[in-house]
Amino acid sequence: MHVLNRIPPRLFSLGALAVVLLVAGALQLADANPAASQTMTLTAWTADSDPGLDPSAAVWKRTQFIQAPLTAQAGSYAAGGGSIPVVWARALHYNDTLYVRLEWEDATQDDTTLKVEQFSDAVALEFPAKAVATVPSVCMGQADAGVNIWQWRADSEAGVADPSDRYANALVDMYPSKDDLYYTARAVGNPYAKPDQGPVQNLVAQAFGTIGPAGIQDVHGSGVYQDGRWSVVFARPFAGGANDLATFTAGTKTDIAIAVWNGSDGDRNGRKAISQFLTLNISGAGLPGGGSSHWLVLSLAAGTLLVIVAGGVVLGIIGLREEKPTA
Amino acid sequence: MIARDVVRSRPAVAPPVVQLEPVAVALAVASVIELMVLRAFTRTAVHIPALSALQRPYEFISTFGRYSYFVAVVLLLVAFPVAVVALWCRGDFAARMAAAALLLFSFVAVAARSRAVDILVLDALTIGAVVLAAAAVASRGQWRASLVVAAFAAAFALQGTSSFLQDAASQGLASFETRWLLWAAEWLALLFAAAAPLGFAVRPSRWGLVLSIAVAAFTFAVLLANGSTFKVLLLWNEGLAGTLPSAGYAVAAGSLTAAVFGLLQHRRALPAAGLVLLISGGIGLHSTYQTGLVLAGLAVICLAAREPALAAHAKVK
Repeated sequence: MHVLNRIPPRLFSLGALAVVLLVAGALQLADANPAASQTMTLTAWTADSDPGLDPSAAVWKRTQFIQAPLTAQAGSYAAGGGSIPVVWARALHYNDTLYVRLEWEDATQDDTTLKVEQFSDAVALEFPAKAVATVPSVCMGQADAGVNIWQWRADSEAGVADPSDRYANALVDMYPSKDDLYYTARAVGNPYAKPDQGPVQNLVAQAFGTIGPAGIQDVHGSGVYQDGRWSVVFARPFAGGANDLATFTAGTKTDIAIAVWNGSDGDRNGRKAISQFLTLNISGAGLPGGGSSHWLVLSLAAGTLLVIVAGGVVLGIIGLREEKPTA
Repeated sequence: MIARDVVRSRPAVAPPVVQLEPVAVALAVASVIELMVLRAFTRTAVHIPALSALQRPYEFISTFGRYSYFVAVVLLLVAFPVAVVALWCRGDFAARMAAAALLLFSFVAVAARSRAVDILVLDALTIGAVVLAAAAVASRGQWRASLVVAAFAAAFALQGTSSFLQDAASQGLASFETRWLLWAAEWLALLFAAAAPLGFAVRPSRWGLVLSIAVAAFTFAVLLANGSTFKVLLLWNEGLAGTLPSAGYAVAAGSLTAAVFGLLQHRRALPAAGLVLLISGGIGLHSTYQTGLVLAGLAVICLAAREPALAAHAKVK
């Protein structure tokens, strides 16, 4: 300390600043982050039976949900979205297949898009691609860190509607051909134009405006609308099959974000409600039955929280009652 | 001014505060740069059309933002022990409670990194540490400052409790409805921001008033023009969903600007740094870094609060 006292204060400050900047640079080069994430975790437990694609499967009732808050997001005009404030999420895995069940409140069942002003209800999951080394931007990833998106659409679930249902007086003389050439969306590979592929599109993106269908369409899903709520199940084998797709392994963690579209509110494309990245924990353990050890941990944690918070509040009240100096 | 008064009247306890001030100010500046560049700019720059043409500048700014994050982390690691020593040297019960809160969170941060302790216990200890530190501030400050800090701590605790309950669900224990906690936290956070000038006894100058009105108007205009991006940033960085009327967030932004600017104009660098750290940290459980900023901010505000002994001395005079 005696030696330190002899150093001029300005020199000492500059030296300390240089040390801080050097240590920060070393941490960045080593990618050694001393901080830890405290974000919400969605745990995928090992199921003891195949959940299948039915959102009402019995195994889901034994799985606890987390409530993920959503906020408005509009990457492109028209700006808006965000009418769905929260989504209930559950996850399981069975035979190396990941199952994610999402549920949200929506007063209207928007599953037809025959008119140009109609938009479909939808929900999507976003994961970092297999090959990324850093957490990508939640907005469609970034050039050096792509994302894999699974989108379920209510109109695809409902199947291709007959235009005569909506336009009863419309007449079509004839179609010259049923070749893809005359169905341009199908010809260029738009998965929405291929209803036989199911209601879920497997998509990849590496930045805003780059989203497109993945080379492999192996994500399955099914949705049900009941009592003002959508329930949707996604399923995909753990192995991604390509570097631009997400891959999962039991006992590891990855990131997951959720987006919900409310068609009757005009949501489409970037206009939607999104969560931030949550942690997806692919647990190697089986479905917990609420054992005593788990409740002990919860009780201990809740007790600790209550005692500290109550102690803090009491301390604050005592402090407020003490005589305070005037301004 | 507070720090200077303490130096004159209680030289035995002054040095730690004096040493903390440059560290706290540097930390506040680094955290603001990190917030603006890493957490705000690089997360929204992906929306720039034809970003690929600007790939090099983007990568440079992104790397700089990440560097500012590491600088803030290192400064946080320096600020914690300095603040603990400074609080402990104050000798009164409340200051030592704040020091204990910092030590408690230091344990949480290490345990969270090493994953040695159950996440529910870590959540509980994190919220507890923030409430303890806020209570210490409330004990040492004036009643107006106490209420403002209490509003912040309550918002943090409600948001954190929501995460705690969701983590309980994630562990397969039980599922809870927590929307009302988030809603209440949102209101309390806006209350904290709107009342900050009152709580910190700041009377804005004409320029301060002009600046705060400009910031409020700008925030309102951004919310009207492209509120979604603003709300995404708000959720990521501050833990607020942006579900309340836009005018509330505009007033909050203007009020916080008035408070920080006013404190700086009155040369009250320590509470200004503390307030900036609370803003950088946000509410709820994001990462041990952001919670660390919040605790450092509370510790700094606690140290800047007027001491009863000082007031008694003034009365005798």
